[in-house]
Amino acid sequence: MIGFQYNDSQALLIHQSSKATVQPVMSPVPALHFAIKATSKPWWSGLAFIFALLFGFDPVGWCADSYNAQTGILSIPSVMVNGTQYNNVQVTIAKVVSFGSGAGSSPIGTVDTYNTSNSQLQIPLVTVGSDTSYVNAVIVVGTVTFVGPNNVLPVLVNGGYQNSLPNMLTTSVTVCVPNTKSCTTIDNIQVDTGSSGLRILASTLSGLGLPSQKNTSNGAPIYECAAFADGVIWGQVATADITLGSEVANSVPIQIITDTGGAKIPKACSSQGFNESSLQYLGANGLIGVGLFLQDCGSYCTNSAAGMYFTCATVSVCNQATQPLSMQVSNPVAFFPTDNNGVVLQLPALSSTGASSVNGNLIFGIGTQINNTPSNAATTLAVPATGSLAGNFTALYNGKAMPNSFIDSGSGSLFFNDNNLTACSSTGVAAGYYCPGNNTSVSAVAISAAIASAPNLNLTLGNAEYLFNENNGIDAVFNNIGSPAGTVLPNSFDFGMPFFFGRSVYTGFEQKNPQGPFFAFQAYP
Amino acid sequence: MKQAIHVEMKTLQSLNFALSCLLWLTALAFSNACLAELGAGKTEHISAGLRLQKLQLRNVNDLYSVQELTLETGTVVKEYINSTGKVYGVSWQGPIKPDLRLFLGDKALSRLSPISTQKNLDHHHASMNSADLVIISRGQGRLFSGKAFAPLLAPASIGIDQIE
Repeated sequence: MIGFQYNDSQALLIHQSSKATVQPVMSPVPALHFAIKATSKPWWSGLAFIFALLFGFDPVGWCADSYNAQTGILSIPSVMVNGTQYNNVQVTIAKVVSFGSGAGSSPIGTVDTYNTSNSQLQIPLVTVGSDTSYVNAVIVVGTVTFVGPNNVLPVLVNGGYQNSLPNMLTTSVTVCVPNTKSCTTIDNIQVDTGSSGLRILASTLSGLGLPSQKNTSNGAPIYECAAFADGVIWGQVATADITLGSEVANSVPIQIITDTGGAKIPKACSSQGFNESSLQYLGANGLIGVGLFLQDCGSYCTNSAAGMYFTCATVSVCNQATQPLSMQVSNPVAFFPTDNNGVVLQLPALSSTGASSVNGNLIFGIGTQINNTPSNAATTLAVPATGSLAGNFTALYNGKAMPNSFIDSGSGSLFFNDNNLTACSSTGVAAGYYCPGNNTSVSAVAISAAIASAPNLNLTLGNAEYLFNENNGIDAVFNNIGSPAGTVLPNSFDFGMPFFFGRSVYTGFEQKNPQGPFFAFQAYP
Repeated sequence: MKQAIHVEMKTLQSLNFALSCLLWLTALAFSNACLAELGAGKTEHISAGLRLQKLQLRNVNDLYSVQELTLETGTVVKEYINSTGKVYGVSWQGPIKPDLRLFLGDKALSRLSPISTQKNLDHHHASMNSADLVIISRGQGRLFSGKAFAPLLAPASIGIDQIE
C-alpha cells in the first residue's frame, strides 16, 4: 500500500476530472515513508516545511509525494478507497495534530492510514531534518481531490489509413507555437518506439505558424530527410511546444512533413528511397518517435553531412549539412521537466482471433510514479547505445541466440526467419506474412522465442490470411501475426506490436537514469 | 550498355547476361537500359563522390568477388560481382541508410516503392519479390539494413542467402 489507506469513500470529496483514469493496483507495492523536513521555524508554525517525501525502496527518490507550500496541497501518489487503489490524490491539510512520539517509539504499522471518523491521516515514519526518529505523525485532512495520473496518454490500435495497416498504434498530439497559447491538436499520429522525434504533415498544421529552424550562419531554413526502411520523409525542421496528455515539452525540434508547399525534395534525399511524405503513404497524419535515442541522428549528423539534414537556400536548392545535437529532431518525452526518462506502453491482452481496435495507454516516465514503476517480476534488458548492436539485445529463437533482437511498436508484426514456417501467398491479402496451417482457421502454432530469463513468452503465430479475411476483414489488430525478416541480419527477432498485447513494455532512454538505454516488460498492467 | 552487351555476346556467359537483360527490359516496360548499378560494374567511389572509411575488394572464388565499402557514416555496403564484372547483389548495414539509388540504380529502387509493392507492412520493413529482383529493406532506431538480389545475373548455385 502506498499513500494512505481510506475505507469510506462517502466521507471524501472526490472530484474526478474528465481526463482521470483509474490505474490498476501494482503488485507488489513498495513501502512508503513520508519524510517531513523542518525549516528553521518550528514545525507547528505552518505547513510550508513539509516537502520532499521520499520512498523507502530502491532506487530511492523515484516516486515521491510532495507538498506545495504555495498551494497548501499535499500530493499523494495513490489512495485506496474501499479496496480500490486510485492514483494521484491531492489533499489539503487542515491541521497538524501531533508530530510524532519521538525517539524510541516504534511506528504503528507500515502504511499510512486514514481515519474517516476524524479525518486524520496517520503517517508511520517522519523525518525532521536529518532526525529520523519521529514516528506516528498525525495530520487532519481538509479536502481530498482525485485528479488521476498526469502522465498518461491514451493510445489506439487499429488498421490505420483505410484499414490497411495491421496493428497501427496512434494517438493525439497538441503542438503550440512556443510560449504562446496558439495551438492545434492533431489526431492519428503513429506512436513509434523504434524511432525518435515528432513528424507531422504540414497540411494538418495550416495557419499555426510554428517558427522554422534556420541555419545559424546563413539563415537558410533547415530541412530533414528522415530515412525509414520503406522510404523517406522530407520536411522542414521547426520548433514547437508539445503537449502529450497533460505533460508539456517546451521548444522541441520537430519535422513538418512537406505534403504541401515547402522546398522540393532534393535528389540526395529521394535517392534513399520512395518519398512517402503524404497521408496516403504514411498511413497517418504523422509519427511520434519515443524510442531509445534522444535525437533521430545523434553524433552521425554532427560529424558529417549524413544525408539527413539540409539547408535550403531556395525551394529548389537544398544542400546537405551537419546538424548540432540541440537542433536535431528529438524525442519529445525527453524534454518533459519530469517523467522524462522513458515510456511505458500498456496494451490489454487480446484473443487469438484479433479485434478491430484496442485502447491502451502510453505512460511517461519509468519509476517516477506508481503507474510507471516496474514490478519485481519485470524483465529488464540493457542495450548498447552505440555501435553495430545499438538498441539490440540477444533473444533466443528455437534455442538459437539472436543478438540483433529488439522491441518496437513501429513494427506491425513479429519479424523473424523460420524456414519451417509457410509464407502466405505472395498474391493474397497477407503477402509478407506467415501462414501456418490452412487458410480456413487460425491454425495457431506456438513459437519458441525467449528473452533472457523471462517466464515463457507464450507467443503464437496464426494464419495471417485467415485472420485478415475473417470477420469480413474488419479486424486489424492481432497478437499472433509474424513475417519473414529477410536475411541481412539473420539472427534477429523483432518483437513488434503482437508482443505488446497483455504486457507493459518499457523503453528506457539513453543518457537517463536508470541506466538507459534499456527495454523492460512485465505482464499487463 | 547495349554496346557492352554486343561485345560480350562472344561468350556463353555473356549470352546469359544478355538474356537476363532482355528479361529486365520486358519487366521494366522497355526501359532503355539494364539496371543502372545492379547489372553494371562495381561502384567507383571517387567518380561517385563517396568519402569512405575503408574500401576492400575480395576475390572469393571463380564465380564472384565482393567489393566492401565502409561509408563515412559507418554504414557498410557490399557489392557482389559476377565473373563478367557485373553487380548481381548489394547489401547494406549500419546507422545511416545509404544512397540506394547509387548502389541499386533508379529502376530497381523504384520497384521498392509502395506503388509497386503489394503491401506496405510498416515503416520499418519493406520488401519486393519477383523473378528478376528481390529487395529487402529494414530499419529502426540507428540500424538500417537491407539487400537487393538479381537472380538472373547471379552465378548458378548462388542464392539470396549468399548476399550477407
